Parts: sequence; structure tokens; C-alpha cells
Amino acid sequence: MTDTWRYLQSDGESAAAGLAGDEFLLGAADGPALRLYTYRSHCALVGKFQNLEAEVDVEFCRESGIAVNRRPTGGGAILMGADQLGIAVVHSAAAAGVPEHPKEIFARYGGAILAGLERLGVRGSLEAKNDVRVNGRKIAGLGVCRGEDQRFLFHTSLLVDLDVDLMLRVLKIPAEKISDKLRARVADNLTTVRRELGRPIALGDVREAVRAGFAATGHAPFERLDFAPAELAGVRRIEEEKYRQDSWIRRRTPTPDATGASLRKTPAGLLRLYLSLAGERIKDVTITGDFLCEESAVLALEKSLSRLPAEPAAIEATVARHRESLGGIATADLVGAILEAVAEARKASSQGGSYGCFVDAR
Amino acid sequence: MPKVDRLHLPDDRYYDPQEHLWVKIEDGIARVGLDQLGSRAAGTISHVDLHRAGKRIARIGAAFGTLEANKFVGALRAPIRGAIVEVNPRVLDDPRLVHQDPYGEGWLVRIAPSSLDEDLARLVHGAAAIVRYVTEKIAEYKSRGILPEDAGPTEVVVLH
Repeated sequence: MTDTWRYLQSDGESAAAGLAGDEFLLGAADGPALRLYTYRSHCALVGKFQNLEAEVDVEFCRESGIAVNRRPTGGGAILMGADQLGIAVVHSAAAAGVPEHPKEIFARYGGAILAGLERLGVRGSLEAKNDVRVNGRKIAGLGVCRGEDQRFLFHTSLLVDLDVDLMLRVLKIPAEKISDKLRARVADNLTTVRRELGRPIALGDVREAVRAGFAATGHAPFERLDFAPAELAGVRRIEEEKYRQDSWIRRRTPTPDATGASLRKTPAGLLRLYLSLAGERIKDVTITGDFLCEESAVLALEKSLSRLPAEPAAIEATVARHRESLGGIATADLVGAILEAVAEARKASSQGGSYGCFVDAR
Repeated sequence: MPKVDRLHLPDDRYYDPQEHLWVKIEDGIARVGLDQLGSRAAGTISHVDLHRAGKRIARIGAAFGTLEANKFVGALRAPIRGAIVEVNPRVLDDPRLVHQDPYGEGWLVRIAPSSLDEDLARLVHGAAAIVRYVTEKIAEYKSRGILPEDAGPTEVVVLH
């Protein structure tokens, strides 16, 4: 671990620029890099395979000026801003002494973060494989992604502080679950650096401590090299081509946990439906198939079904309202397919109740 | 039948010891999946994304998909070259199949190979070699903390 580490630092990154910067570093054929940065308050970032609309209240975000985007790493949705430190490590497992397996990567760089926290007097541990916790309360969530080659991106959101109410508003939690009790439970299950210290501390001081934690665990020396103008052009390109594109941000993936699917051959064509549940409500529906119908009509129906009670009467009434715009697909076929998917999702719903990276409503 | 516990590996296929992928040749087409050691070492697989049929795999190690397990998102790197002719839609809907039935319903893609003999030659095949591969990897993963020392697999069963 005698490589010189490139060190980058910035604040107030837009959601797209912050993510594009990490990806630029991952694609560069350089040595190791540590980037400690913050996003402009606020942005909501979902995990690579999450459905944005199912995880985040997109309408609230739009009204509130909160940017939304998708990370290349896995895990749940996070709220980022001036009080959450983004920690990105880019390295190659092909280099000597560099961890290769995800568990080793989490342990190595999670350990560096713990060393940084300890310098502030905050003693934590790495738990549940990839959470940094302090006295059982989550203070940081970790994620890793790796492409075809051996280079990987380790990413963390470290809570220096957090507006819990705003996070609960941003995450798409069913209204009936939002309560003082839930808020208290969420606030009790997570913690922040400021809360642990019991005093205000500047984010810059936390950043310095994290940097020192990396150095103390053998990830040094550092050379401060922020993005050069030519590199910034590359970052902008990734930003424009990926992180500002709806095809990435709003990418739809069937969500497997607590998800049901149904496949039905109807006189109008094949109907395939994916559905996820949040409690007793429909969280998200994706309707596909080879039947003839305007895409906008399908999207409108999907939107109407979202957050609807997963009950036959409510589903029938909603589908009936859209009947005229749905071409030859019979209401009974569509309702039947939805109920079938609901039944399947209920079977899997014992794993439900988790919202974002820091909220467990179970 | 060679025996060393509870990890099952059929001997009618070829194994990539780095990526933990198996390859089974059926009428000239290679069916590919994740072996049981790979799925155990990865942890709970929550998402699988596969490239579409028609995608060419020009080199060994090229991505044919992505999986997420315990907040790790990683490319699935092809053990052979060719072109994807079919993806398994069921694992896209239900990635748990990779754990539940890794050698059956949990397969990932079928590839029409372009350099089959050459590519198979670098893979592990035959009962003795399979046992050696898995036994050595289990020991290595335990020593590296990837599998728990006290609760990891202790026996390999090669299925004929």
C-alpha cells in the first residue's frame, strides 16, 4: 500500500456531477483515489436497481427543489446534502495488497472510516456486513460496484448531521406508516457525528478526520489533485450522457423483494405485470406486454395504481376509470393480472418494511 | 464418488474458479450459471440484470450482466466467448432462484460459443479437479474471512 493516493475534495456538487465524478475516476486507468465531497442540499439518490418512483416521492422532490438520481452502487435510497459526507474510494484489485472480494473491500475501507471517526472520539464498528454503526445506531451505509475489470468504486454516505423529517418526507413511505412513533424509531436507529459528539462540528473537520483515518490505516500518501479542466470535460460528458438522462435516472427494474409478477395471455396480447407492495398498498406497478396501447395510457394507469390499497374493489375501480384508453385489454384481464401479482407479492412481503438506507419501519 | 459436505457441484459441467460460473454444453450451446460456492460467498443476491439475447461476447471476462448482493454491484464476467442466444427471464423476476436452484431453474444465460474448445480448456472439469477447485477455494475464503471459519461449507459433493 505504498502507492500515492490521489485526493480530491469538493463541496456543493449537483447530484449528476457528484456521481459522474466518481464514475470518471473509476474509468480512469490511474492509481488509487480518495474523494471526500458533499452534494448541494439536497438530493435523493436511489441504489442501482431500485425503482425511483417506488422509493422516492418524486413529486415532493420536484416541488422542493430536491434533485433525484441513481447511484451505480447498490443499496437503498439516501438523502445527501451539505451535512452528509460522500466518501468515494477508487482502486484496482489487480494491485498488490488491494482487497478483491466485496467483503474484504467493505472491511478494509470501512475500517479506514472507523479510524477516522475514532480520531473524533466516536467509536464505531462495522456491522451487518456493510453498515458502520455507533452503539448499534447506523451512521454510514457502504456500497461497492465493480465493472468488467478489476477497478472498483467503494462509496459511503457518512451522516455528519441529518434532517430526519426531510428524509422521511423524501422517501416514499406509505402515509399510514408515517407517525411520531416511526419518526422516533428512525431517529433512534440512526445517529450522526454531531449527535455522538454532543456539539457542533464543521463538516470540514469530519472530512479531515476521515482523511487522517485513511492515512493511519495505510492508504497514503496523498496528493491533492482535483479534476483538471480536461478531466472536468470528461466528467461533464458522463454527466450529460448518463446522469442527466431519464433512461438512467428513471430506469425501471422489477423489484424482487416483496414483488409479485404475473403473466397472462389475453385476446389482446401478452400481458406481463410486475408489482411491489408497501404494507397493504401498491408501491409500484410496471405493465408490459405486446398488446397495442398508447404508452402514455399505460403510464397513467401505473401512476393511478401507485399507493392504491391492494384490494380488489379499489383496483377494479381504478382500472375501470382507465378502461377507454387501454385499447383491447379487458378490465377483467388487467384486474386479474394485478391481483395475481398482489397475491405473489404478499407471499414475499415478510421481507418488506425497509425504506431507503436508514429507515426500517418493521 | 469423490466426497469432501454440502456444496453440490455436478460433474457434467465446466467451472470458472475465479468467477464461480458453470458452463454446460447442450447441443452445442453453452448454458451458464453461478455455482453454489459463488452464491454462498456472494451473500443474498437481490438483483440480477442480464444483457439481451444477441449481445456478442468478444472476450473472456466481458460482462454479460450484473448482480447485486449485500450492496455489492458487480459485473457477471463471461467464461466463454460467443453470442448470447437466451437469457433466463425467471432469475430477473426472482433472483433467489440462483440460490435455490443454481444448476437448474437458476441458470443465467445461454451462449452460442465462438471458440468453444479453446475456452473450455481453461475451465475446471472432471470430478477430481472440481473437488480440488472447491476445496482449495473454501480454505482460501475461510482464511480471508469471506466464508466464516466455523460455519462455512466443509464438504463438497460432486453429482454424477
